[in-house]
Amino acid sequence: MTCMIKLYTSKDSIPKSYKLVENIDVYFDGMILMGGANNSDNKELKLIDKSTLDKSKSHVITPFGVTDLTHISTGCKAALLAKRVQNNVVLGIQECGNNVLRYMLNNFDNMSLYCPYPRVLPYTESIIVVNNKKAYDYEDARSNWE
Amino acid sequence: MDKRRIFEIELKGKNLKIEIDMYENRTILTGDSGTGKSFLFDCLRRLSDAELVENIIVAEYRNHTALDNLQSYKNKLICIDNCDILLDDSLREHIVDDINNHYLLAGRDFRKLLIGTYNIGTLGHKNNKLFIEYPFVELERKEAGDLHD
Repeated sequence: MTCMIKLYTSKDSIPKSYKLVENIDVYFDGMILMGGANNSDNKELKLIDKSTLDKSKSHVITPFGVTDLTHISTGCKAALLAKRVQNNVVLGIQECGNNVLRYMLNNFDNMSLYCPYPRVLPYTESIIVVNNKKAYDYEDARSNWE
Repeated sequence: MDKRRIFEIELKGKNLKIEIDMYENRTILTGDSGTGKSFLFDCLRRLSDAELVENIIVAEYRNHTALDNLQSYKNKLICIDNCDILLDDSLREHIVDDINNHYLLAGRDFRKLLIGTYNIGTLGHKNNKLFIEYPFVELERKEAGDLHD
C-alpha cells in the first residue's frame, strides 16, 4: 500500500486546525517528560545517534557518555516525535539531517512535515503532497517552494 | 588558504579533546543528525558558564539570550546551535558583516549567511578527538591534485 506524507513549505499553507511544531527540541523535551521513552525507541536511537536507553529508560548511553533524553540529537527527537504525534501535528524538519529524513520518509505513514527553505528530500516510495496541491518534484526540488 | 586553530581543549571528564579549526571567520556545521554537534555546543556552554574558558559565547534553544548582545562582542568565538530556528534575517546579516568575532554555527539553512566552500564543516570524531572536517575543501583539493593530510 502506498503511503502518503504531507509537506508544507509555508506557514500559510498549513490548515488552521493543525499544530505546527517548529522547535522540535522544546516540544520533544516536554513530550518525553510527560510520556517517557520505551524499548521501541532504541531502534531510532541506535540508527541515528548510535545510542541506547539504559535500564531505567530515563537515560541514554551515547558514544560520548550517559545523558538524558533532552540531549539526544534534534534529528533523533524528530524521529521519535513522528512515532508519537497525530498527523495534524506538523513537524518542522529544518534541523533534521538527511539520514533522519530518509528514515522518516520510508518508515512512517501519514506524517505532516514543514520546511520553509528549498531542500532536496531523500527519495521515498511514499507520495509526498506539497501544500495539499501537488506531488513533490524530485527533479526540480526548488520548484516545490515556489 | 590554510585553516587556523581557533580553540582547543582537553576534557578529561569525557576522555576527549576538542579542536576547532576555521578557514574564515565563520563555519557552519552541517551534515547528518547524531554526529555530536549538540554535544559539542553543550560542552562549550558548560565551560563558558563555569568561566573555565575565556572568549566563548554559546547560544542554543535552551538559552539564547547571548543573541541579544551580539553587537557588543569582540574577539569572541560565538557558537550558535539550532541556527535554523534561532537566526532571523537580521541576525544572519549581522553575522556576515561582523569581522570582529569568529562564528561556529550549527544548521542546514544557509540563506543570507554567504556560505561557501571554506565555511561548510562537518563534525568528525576519531581517536578521542572531536574536530571539524571541511569536505568541500578536501574535494576541491583532491580534484586539483593537491590533497594535504
